[in-house]
Amino acid sequence: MKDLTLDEYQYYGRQMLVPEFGKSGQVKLKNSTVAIIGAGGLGCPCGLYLGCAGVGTLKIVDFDTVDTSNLHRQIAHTEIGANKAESLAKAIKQRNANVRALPYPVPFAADNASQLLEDVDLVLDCTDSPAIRYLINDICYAKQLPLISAAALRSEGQLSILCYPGGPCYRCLFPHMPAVSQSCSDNGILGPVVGVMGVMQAAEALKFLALGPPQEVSMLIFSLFSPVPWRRIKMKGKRPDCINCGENGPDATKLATYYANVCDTYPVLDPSEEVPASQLENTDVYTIDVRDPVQYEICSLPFSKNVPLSKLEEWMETHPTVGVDSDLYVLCRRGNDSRTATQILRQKGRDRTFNVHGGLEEYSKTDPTFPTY
Amino acid sequence: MKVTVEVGGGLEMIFGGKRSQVVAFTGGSMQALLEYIAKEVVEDQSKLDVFILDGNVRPGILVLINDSDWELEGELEYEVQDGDHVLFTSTLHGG
Repeated sequence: MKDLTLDEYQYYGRQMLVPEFGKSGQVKLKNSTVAIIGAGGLGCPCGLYLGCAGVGTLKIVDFDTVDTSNLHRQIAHTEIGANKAESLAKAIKQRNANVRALPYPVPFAADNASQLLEDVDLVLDCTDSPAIRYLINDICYAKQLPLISAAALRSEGQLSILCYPGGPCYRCLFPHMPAVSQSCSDNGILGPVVGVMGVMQAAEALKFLALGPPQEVSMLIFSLFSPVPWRRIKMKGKRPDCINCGENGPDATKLATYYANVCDTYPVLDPSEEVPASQLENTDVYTIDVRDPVQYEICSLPFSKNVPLSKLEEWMETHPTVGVDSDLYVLCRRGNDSRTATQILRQKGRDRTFNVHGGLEEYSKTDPTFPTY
Repeated sequence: MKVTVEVGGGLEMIFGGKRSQVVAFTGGSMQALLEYIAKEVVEDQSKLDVFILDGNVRPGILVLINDSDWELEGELEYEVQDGDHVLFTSTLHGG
């Protein structure tokens, strides 16, 4: 193992003074390679802390580019349109020239996953889609690489340590991929919530690299608005019938079906059941906006009425003729939930109901003063 | 008996936004508690299926009894005790 340089003694002195970590922990860090998959809300704080802590090599994988709506939580990025992996690697190098931060501006996929994780000691899942999470897990198990997986949404976060010798894999804890996934762009996320999970991921990574795997199978849960915000939950360990790491070994056929996961469960409408969003300019057609009240409060069209999808049945009872004797436009943020609503309304005989194609996001192209979020 | 029912991961939406509440339960197994919660505690019955599917908790929802995965406690057969804390939360994927 490579020993520390004189500069490094100075740089890392404060953390070497922590007895559990010590100089031996620092030397292990210096000689380690960690893969950070996803340079977003988790990857940014996690990568910055690990880079500054002195992990010798950080491989950062992300093909996405920085958008304005990322900046409240993806704190390493400063330039709109920059590749996220390159942006995070640059931010790390600016802070600590002692470490190597290697950007991989490519999607993490089944055909390059194994190669990207070559010579890696520890993998951190900082991604945001269930299909990629299962893929990362399966590759980690196959290559016997320990995995620290974190996730966050709205005001909550979860973290678990997986795939170490004798430990469970992600599928042992979560055998079923959800039919519908919830994303940060649709459901919201508070910056410090995903930030604190990324920081915990970095802290657990330091612990793992210095001291090895945990003794107990557990999961850390954070919920900002819960009476007990932090919980460490005891979890069942390896699942003997796991289709990945179970007694019968990986079931390639079953595993493959997971990667083809499609989350789009919205109905498909005939073009005659839709109107273009530009139609909303100068219209006197009765228009309902089916987003929830939180989103409606962010921005709305003044002539639209807020009828959340969950209140649609009640609205139908009090408005029996709209969409029957007169036209009805149905609207939401991107034109997905409104498709569901349009289908329900048409099934109830409201044949003059039309979905506003592409929703408010599409409308903002016609009216650039209308906000998108 | 009194049981604290806590929900998270978005499930609070069908519980009228309430994350934690103490419910008066007549006693019995987790199966009975689930039936009670589905009938008496869930406020938005039109979306019950995001929580319960085919008489059991929907896959992807974690069930924790006193901070332990319910699989360690016997799942539906677990005999609910006075003062128990039961948490239902969805698996998160965002990042």
